[in-house]
Amino acid sequence: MRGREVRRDRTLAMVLSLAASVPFPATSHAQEGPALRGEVDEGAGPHRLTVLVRSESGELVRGAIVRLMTADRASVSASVLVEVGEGRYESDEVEDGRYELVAEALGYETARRPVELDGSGISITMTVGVQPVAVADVIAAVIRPDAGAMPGHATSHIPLDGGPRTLADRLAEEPGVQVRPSVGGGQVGTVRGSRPEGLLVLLDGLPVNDPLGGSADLSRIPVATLSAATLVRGASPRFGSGAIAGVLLLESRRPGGMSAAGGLEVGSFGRLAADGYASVGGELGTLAAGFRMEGIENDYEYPNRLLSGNPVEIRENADAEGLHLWLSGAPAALPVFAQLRYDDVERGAPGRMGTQALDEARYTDRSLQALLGYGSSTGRVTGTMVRRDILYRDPRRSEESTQSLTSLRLAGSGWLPGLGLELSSYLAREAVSEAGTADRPVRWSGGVWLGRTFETGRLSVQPGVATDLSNDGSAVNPEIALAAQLGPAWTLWGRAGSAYRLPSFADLYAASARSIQANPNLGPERVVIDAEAGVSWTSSAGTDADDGGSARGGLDVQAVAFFRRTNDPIVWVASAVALWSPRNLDRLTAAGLEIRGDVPLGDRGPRAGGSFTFQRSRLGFGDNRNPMPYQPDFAGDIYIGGVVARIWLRGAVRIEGSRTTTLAGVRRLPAYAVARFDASRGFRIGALALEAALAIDNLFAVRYELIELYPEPGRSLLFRLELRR
Amino acid sequence: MSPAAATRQREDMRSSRHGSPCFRGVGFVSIALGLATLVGCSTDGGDPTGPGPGDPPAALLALHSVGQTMQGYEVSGEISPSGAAIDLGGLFDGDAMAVGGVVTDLTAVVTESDFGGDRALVVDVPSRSSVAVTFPDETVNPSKPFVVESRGSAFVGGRASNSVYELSITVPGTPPAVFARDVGEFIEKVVVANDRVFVIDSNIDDVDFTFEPLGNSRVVVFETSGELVREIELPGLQATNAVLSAGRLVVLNAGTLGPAFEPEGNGSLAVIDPASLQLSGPFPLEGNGVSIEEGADGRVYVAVTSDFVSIRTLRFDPTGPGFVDGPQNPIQTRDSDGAPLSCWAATALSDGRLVCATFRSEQAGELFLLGTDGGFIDSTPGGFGTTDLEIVAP
Repeated sequence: MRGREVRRDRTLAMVLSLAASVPFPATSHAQEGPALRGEVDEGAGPHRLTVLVRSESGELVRGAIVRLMTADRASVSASVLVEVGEGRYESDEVEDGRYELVAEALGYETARRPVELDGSGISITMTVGVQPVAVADVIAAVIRPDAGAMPGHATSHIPLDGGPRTLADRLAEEPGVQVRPSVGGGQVGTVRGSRPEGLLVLLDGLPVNDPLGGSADLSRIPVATLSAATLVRGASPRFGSGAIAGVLLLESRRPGGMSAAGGLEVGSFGRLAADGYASVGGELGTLAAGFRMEGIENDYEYPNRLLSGNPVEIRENADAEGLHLWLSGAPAALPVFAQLRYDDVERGAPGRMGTQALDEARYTDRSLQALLGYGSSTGRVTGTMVRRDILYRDPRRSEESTQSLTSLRLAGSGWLPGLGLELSSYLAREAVSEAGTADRPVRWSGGVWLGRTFETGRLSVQPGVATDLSNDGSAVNPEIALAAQLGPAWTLWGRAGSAYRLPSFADLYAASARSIQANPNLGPERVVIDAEAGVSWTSSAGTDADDGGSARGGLDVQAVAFFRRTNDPIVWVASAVALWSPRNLDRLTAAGLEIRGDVPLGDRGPRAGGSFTFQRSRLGFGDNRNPMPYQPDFAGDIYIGGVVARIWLRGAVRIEGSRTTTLAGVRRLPAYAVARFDASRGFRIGALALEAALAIDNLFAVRYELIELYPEPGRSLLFRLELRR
Repeated sequence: MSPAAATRQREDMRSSRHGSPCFRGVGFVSIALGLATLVGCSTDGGDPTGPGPGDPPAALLALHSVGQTMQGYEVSGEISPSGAAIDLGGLFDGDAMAVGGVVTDLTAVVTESDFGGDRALVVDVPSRSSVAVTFPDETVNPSKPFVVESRGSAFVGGRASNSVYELSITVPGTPPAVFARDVGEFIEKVVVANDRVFVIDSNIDDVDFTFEPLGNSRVVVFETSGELVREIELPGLQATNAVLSAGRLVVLNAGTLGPAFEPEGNGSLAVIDPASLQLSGPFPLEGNGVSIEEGADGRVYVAVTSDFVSIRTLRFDPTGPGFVDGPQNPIQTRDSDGAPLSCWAATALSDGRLVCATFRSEQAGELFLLGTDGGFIDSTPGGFGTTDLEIVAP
C-alpha cells in the first residue's frame, strides 16, 4: 500500500512532532500507553472491563464503537461499552466467561480479540490499524486542512468529551490561551498575547473568522457538532493569511458507521439545548445527519459596581439561540466526500453595565457551507462554498446593517514520496456585499506551501516555505522546525518562521461614517519572527508496552518558551481630529513561557496537573510600549480528577492575573480565580450507552469581569444527558 | 462615593484650608492639582513677556477622553504634569468638561453619552474622586456641561431628550432638576450669562439617526426663571460648542460633512451679546470646526480642519468681533523642531502664551507650551485622546 509506505516514511516526524503535541489530556484520566496485552486492573472493579483503543501510532481513538460479544455467535448478543474518557471505554458488570471484543472506529480497520473474564477487573488496550483505502479515510483526508501533526508546534488536541462545556470553555484551559466576550455578544480567543484576529479558526478547512472584523466567534460552533478540535499554538504560514499566533482546527462530526446519538441539556439562566445525530453505513457508502438547537436567557444577576451600594441588577439582552444542521456522506465506490452545514446564531449584543444604550441591539450570524472533496492516502482536493450573512440591528437607533460574504475555495494537498515533499495549495475568492450599497469588494488569494522532512536518527528537521498572493497583499513566509527525541522520556523541539495577515474587509472597505473611515491603502501585518522552543518529559514514555498498557502513565511535564514580533500591526487609531481609521502601526511583541504538568497521585489515585503561562505582550509605537489590553502577565489552570465509584470527577481552578483595559493602561481589572467542577457517569441500557454529565461553573460565585464592565455570571449549573448507540 | 460622603469629604477639605486669602487662592490650586510647590502670592499674571521669578505658576486641567482621565498641569517657564491622573472610569466617553470654583473649591463636570451610561460625573479634583449623576429621563445623551458657580450647579442639555437639566455640584449625586423641556433638536451646550440661559441647538436629525442638518443652528434663550425669551437662528450649520469670553457668547458652527464624511469647509463662528441678544457673524473658518476654547487672555481659540488630518489654530477677538489670526493667517504652532503642530485644543494663559494639546489615541499625546506667536517653548507628555483644556489658575 503506497499510502502506508508514505506513513512509515513520515513516522518519525510524526512521532517527534506528536511529542511536541501536548500529551496531556484535559481529562486527567486519559493518559495511557499503547500496549497490546491485557492486564489485571483492580481499579476497574470486579467483573468490569476497561478498554483503551489506540491507533498504531499510539493515539487514543475516541468515538469508537466497542462491543463485548458473547462467544456464542449464534446468540449475537452484545453490549456496548461506554466511553468514559478520551479513547477509554468501560463495560458494566458482566458475568464470567469468554467473550469477543470488537472495536470499530471511523478510518480504522475493525479490531477483534477474545477475552476471558474470571471475576476480576481487567484493562485491555486494542490497537486499530488504519483502513488502507476506505471511505472514512477519504473523509479524514478531505476535511483535515493538513493531515498529520504540526512539526515544531505546541499542539493540543482539545478533548470534546467530558460533558456539556462549550468550545470556549475547553479552549480556555490550554496554556497561552485567553478567552473573553466579544463586543457583539460572542466569545473570542487569543493565543500567546495576541489579539483575537491572531487566532485563525478553521472549520473543515474554512475560516470561521469574521471576514469583516477578522476575529472568530467561538460561540458559533457547538461542541456537539464536532468530532475533533486541535489547537496549534504559534504562527503557521502553511495556512495562509491569518494564522499569525495560532490555529484552531475544527472538524465537523463525520459519518460513523451505524450509529446514533442524542443529547439534552438544561442549565442555569434558562439554558436549554438538544442535539441528535444518526449515521448509516453499508455497501453503498455512509450518510450522516445531525442537528443542534440551543438557547439561553442569560438573565443572570450581577452587582452594578458603578452605583453606590452595588445594587444587584439583571443582565439584559444577553440571550442567545442557535440552530445547527449538517449532512455528510460518502459513496463507497468513489473516493469522494460531501458535506453540507448550516449554522444560525441569533443573540443580543449587550452593552456595559450602567448603560441601556444597547439593550435592544441584536446580532445574527448565519452561514451555509458546502464541501465536496476527493481524497486518497497521498493527496486530496476540496472545493468549498460558503454564504454567510451577518446582520446587526438596533431598533433604538433605527440602525440595521447586513453584510454578506460569498466565499469559494479550492484546495489541494499531497505528498511526493520520491522526493519526500509535502505540497499544499489553495485558491480562494471572497466577496462581501452590504445591503443598500453598490460596493462589492472582492479578494482573490492563492498560496502554495512546500515542505520537506529530513530525518537522521533521532533528529527531524522540516523546512518549508509558504508563498501567498492576493490583490490585498502578498508574502513569502519560511518556516523551519526541528525535533529531537533524546531517549524515551525527553523530547526537544523548536521552530522559527514568519507569517502574515491581510487586512479585514472592514479595515479596507467599511463604509465611511461619522468619525470612522476605512483605509484602502492598508498593508498586511507581518509576523517577522515567531519562534518557540520546547521540551517535554514523559516518565511513562517507552514503558507502557512493558507494563502491560497501564492506564495510568506517569509524570508528564512540558515547557515552551515563545517569542513573536509583528511589524505593521493593523490597529484602529484616531487621527489628530479623532477620525478613527485602521493604520499599520509600528510593532507588537509578545514573549512568554508555558508550562504544563500532569501527575498521578499515588498508584491508583486520581491525577492532578495544571498549565501556567507567563507572558509579556506589548504594542509599540515609536518610543511607546503599551501593555496589550486584556492580556495578563500570568494565567493558569490547576486540576485534579479521577474515577471514583465509576463516576468521573474533576475539579479545576482558573487563575488569571490583572489586565489593563485600554491601551492607555489607566485601569487594570483585578486578578481572579474561579473554580469549576465536572462529573459524569456512564450507564449501559442494553445496546445503548447513556452518559449523564454535570458541570458547575464558577463554583464559589466569584464576581469578576473578563471585559471591563461586562459582568460574568455567578455560579451556574449545566446538566447533559446523552444517549448513544 | 455617596453624596453624603462626598459632602463630608468636601467639608473636611474646606476645613483644612486656613490662612490668608492669598494662601487660600493659590494654595488651593496647588492642593487641588497636586502641585508640590507653594508659590508666591501675586495673582497678576498679565505680563505678556512671560512669568517672572516669583510669579505663581498657572494651572490647567486637561481631559484625556480616550484614556478616560483628567490630569492637572502647572505652567511657569515650562509645562509639567501636576499630581496623578484622575480616573474617570470605564464608562466615560465624553469629550468636554467644565470647571468651577477655582478659589473656593475645584470641581469639574464631565458627561457621558447614552453609550457610556447617560451620566454626568461631578469630579472633586482635590480628592480625585467623582460622583455619578443620572438623569431623570431614560435616554438623555447629555451635552457638554457648563458650570455656574453662583448657583452651585452645572447646566447640561439632553441631546436625545431635548431637555435642559441643572445639576448640583455642591451636593453631587442629587438628581438633576429639569430646567426646560422640548428645546430644540440636538442640544450641544448650555451657557448661562447675564441671568439668561442660552441653549445651543445644533438642529440636526437624531430621530432617524442621519445626523443631517434640519436647518441652521439655533440658540434658544431663557430667563433663569425658566421663561422663554426668544430663539435666535444662527448663520451656520452644525453648532457643536460655545464659550463665554469677554462677556460674549461665541458659538462654533462646525460645518457639515460630505457624502463620504469629508469636511465641507463651511464652518463659522457667531457671536451673541448676552445682554442685547445682538447677533454678529458669520465669521467663516474656511474649514470645519474641531474645538473652541476661551483663553485667559480674553481671546477665543478655534481649531479648524479641512482634511481630518491637520489642524489650524485661529485666534478670535469676541469683542471686536473678528479674527486676530484668521483662516488666512493662522497661528504658526510649532514643535521643537519647527514642524507644524496640529492642536486639537488650544487655549491661552493670561500672559498670552498658548497651551496646545495634540490628540493621539494609540499613545499619549503631548501638551505644548507655546509663545503668543505659536513658537515652541516647552512640552510634556499628555494623555490619550486629549480633547479639552480648562485654565484653572491663569
